[in-house]
Amino acid sequence: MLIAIATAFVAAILAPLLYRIKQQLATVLAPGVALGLFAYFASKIPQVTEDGPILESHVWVPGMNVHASFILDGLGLVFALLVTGIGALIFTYAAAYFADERDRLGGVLSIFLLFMGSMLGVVLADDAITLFIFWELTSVTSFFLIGYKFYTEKAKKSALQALVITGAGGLVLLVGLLLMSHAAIAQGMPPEEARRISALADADIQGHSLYTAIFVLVVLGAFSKSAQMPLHFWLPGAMVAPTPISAYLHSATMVKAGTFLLARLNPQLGGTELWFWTVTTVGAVTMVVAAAIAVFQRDLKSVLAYTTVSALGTLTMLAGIGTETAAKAFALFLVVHALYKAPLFMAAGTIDKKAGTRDPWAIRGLAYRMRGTGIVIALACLSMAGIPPFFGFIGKEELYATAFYYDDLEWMSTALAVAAWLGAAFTAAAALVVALPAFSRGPGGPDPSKPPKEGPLRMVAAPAILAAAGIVLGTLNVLAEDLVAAVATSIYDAPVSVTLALWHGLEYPYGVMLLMSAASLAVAGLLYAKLSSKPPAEESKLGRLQGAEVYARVIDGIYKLAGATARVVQGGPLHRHVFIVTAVAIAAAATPILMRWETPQTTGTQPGIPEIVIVALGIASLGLLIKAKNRLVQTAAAGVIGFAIAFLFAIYSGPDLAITQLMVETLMVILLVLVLHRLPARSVVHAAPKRIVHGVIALAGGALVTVLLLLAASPRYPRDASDFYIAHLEEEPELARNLINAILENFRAMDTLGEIVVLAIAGVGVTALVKLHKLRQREEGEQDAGSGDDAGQQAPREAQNDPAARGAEAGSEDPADPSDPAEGDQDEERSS
Amino acid sequence: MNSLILRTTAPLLLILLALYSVFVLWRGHYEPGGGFVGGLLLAGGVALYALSAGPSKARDLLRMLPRTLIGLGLLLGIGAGVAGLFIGEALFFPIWGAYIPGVGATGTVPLFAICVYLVVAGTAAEILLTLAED
Repeated sequence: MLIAIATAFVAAILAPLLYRIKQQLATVLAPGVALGLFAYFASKIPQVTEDGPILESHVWVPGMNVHASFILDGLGLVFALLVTGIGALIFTYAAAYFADERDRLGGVLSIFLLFMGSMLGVVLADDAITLFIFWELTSVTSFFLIGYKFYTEKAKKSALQALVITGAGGLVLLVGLLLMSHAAIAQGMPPEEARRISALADADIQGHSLYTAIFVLVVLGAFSKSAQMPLHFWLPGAMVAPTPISAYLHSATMVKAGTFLLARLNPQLGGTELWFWTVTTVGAVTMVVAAAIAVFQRDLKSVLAYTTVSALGTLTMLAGIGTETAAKAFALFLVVHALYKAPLFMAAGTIDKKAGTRDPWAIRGLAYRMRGTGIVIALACLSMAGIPPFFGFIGKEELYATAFYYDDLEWMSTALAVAAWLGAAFTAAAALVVALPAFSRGPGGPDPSKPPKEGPLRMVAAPAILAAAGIVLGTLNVLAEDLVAAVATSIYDAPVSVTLALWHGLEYPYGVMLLMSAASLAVAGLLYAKLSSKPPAEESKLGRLQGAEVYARVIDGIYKLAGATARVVQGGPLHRHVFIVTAVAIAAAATPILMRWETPQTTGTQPGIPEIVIVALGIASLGLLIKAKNRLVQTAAAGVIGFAIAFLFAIYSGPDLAITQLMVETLMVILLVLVLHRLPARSVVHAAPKRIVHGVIALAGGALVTVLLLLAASPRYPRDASDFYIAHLEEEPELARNLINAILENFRAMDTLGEIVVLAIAGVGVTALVKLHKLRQREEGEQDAGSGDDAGQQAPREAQNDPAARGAEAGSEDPADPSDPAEGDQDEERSS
Repeated sequence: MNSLILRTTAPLLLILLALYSVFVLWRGHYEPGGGFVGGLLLAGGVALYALSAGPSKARDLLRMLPRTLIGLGLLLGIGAGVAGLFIGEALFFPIWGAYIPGVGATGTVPLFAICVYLVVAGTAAEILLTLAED
């Protein structure tokens, strides 16, 4: 199984490379890999259905008791088949869909494959940490996919929203999973067992005192991923992604991960009152409300998105009920939904491409122009509405049966039946909204002067295969029995046998169920007829429920807080910024020193003539730096001070420091020269009181560094750290013999990594600031060209390009740019 | 900058500085030197070239964005750190390869030095070139 997952990841790396060499290679590779994996998992069906789960474990981080363990049971297998099978078709579809955005297809296929591998990891993982890592990987890859149109504000917002909700949910889940193994260990399970999810079924987690906490954490993770109310709002938002992405992630695979988790953990956590009431209620409410919202959407993708939320609610509800029939219904409905929802998304994408609209009420008669897509929609919607002999009908019957066979609580049985019926009725109405306008004749069709054409073969064949599978499995339902039984066995944690049939006779409860089906279709028909005469308003208020607004307020609040802090601490001219940073640094460092003051004692040698000369040179340059008004002179003077310090380092046996200091100084001078030409030639002279304050801060900074150096050299302070490093360096001959670098690159490599990350951020920040500045200049230049009055003192060549903007901003903003790298460099310098 | 001498020597100096920066990087394992200084030296060479031939020529010469260097360096650096996890040790546990005569020790620690080199060179070059272009 590890190899199967790794194959997807390797293919993800190869895809963009192959795409550059020859596009067809990549467009064949991606579906090919998915199809190959589908075949691999299909070949495991007999083994899993007959002999039970296949386990596999690899040592990963034994020190932390993390193993890459996988389990292939019925539940994992059916998910793996959906992920790879639908993947193969969607990758094929995507290659045609993105035909006019060729330069980005390679990247999309790569992330698709990456996502497929992560998703396989989620559904096959048996180790808590492995599960978590793949879980978050699906969130991260979906972030990139939702943000496909990264240049639009909406896509950016939606991608971030999905990442925040599902990513945070993943973190919560991690804590829940760890607490689960903690609880099992406390009950006497060996630690290496307690990380394996399948082994945790033997522990009595439900009886542990931490159960409530575990339950809340795990269920929050699952609800966020599977868009349960009130955390559902990210899913309709994610529909900004191109349709193949929505079809793959947001119908068939990723969003199912949450319900998968609930099903997977049903043996470990299910069966309690808390589980039943919370999960069932949230699922049922989501199922009914989301389906009702779906009917009133004016965008095909929104209709499909909300019915997906509703379907996820159904699955959640079934996981909550947790009876044998519920486990069967879960297995059936999972496959049913994937088989009709993915083709519907693909069809919506084709319509969007070819007809230029996604409004279901604006595509009347479209099915007669795009016959292939029309047939796909018809087949998929018949299954969605639960009409025999489609697979959807069997799924719906099993859903009703779950309600009827729930015998713990009589009124609950009725309530579940009512909820299931409402959900089915609204879903059927949504199916009619998707399908019927396209098949009806009359006004409101697409522009007759430009009749839409059918999409290319791949865009019709891929969804057609899935939609056809819906009727094949419906009529030849015996084929699915073994697999459904295996899935139900995983969820129910006891052998379950399954017999599927389209016709069960008329005796109770099947007769009632048929009546309910007929009634739901009748209601759906009435609802559709009403909508058909008066389509809903463009902007439906139903979609905007509380969750989205709370999220928006929180995010807004964070931005506002950050903005307010930045205005106080970093606003205004550069010298104020530097002043605040320096003053805070001095106060923070000086406080502990002054609180435990000890006079430093030094044992240093007397300085010789060269040192005195160098120091004198440095002090003279310092005087020049303070007195000078010309920036070029100031830069040169600052450079001399730096070089003087470098020489001191060299004399006092710090060659590493000396050469680093020399290089830093050299580059700093070049840097300053590069930005100098855009500053006024003469520096700003502040009024006397301000100069005094600045002087005090500067002197305090100097005094602090001096005291720190003296304290560090003072023999009273222990030298444990140095002794430790030296001892270890001698122990291990392979370590660098250069102790400084051994500390930087080995002993404290983590710190160095942090520092180079800071450096990299500073570098990227400078680029961003300069580019942003240029952009603004261009915009302002276009707006008010020709009002440059004080541009004369700028460097002439640059100033001529853009006199207005440069004059306005040169004083305050530009100097901020070089300040960033300077800080980054000096951090680094200090550590060495 | 319109100095004939600089224009003539800058390409040669760039080659020398690039070679020297690699030497300093390599030397850092045993003697004063290392990835940080090496990276700065390389960036210094690029800056010199940019001053004489112009920043766009310098970019062409690099053949890749300095930002790519930064990313590559960080990626390798994280890789060098994570490698320890795969043999069941802590993050940044040093893994040593064979000692190659003439090259010296190989392993994650020298690799990490190369990462520092790449990130420092990339960052410094990125900043210098961006400012020079502006």
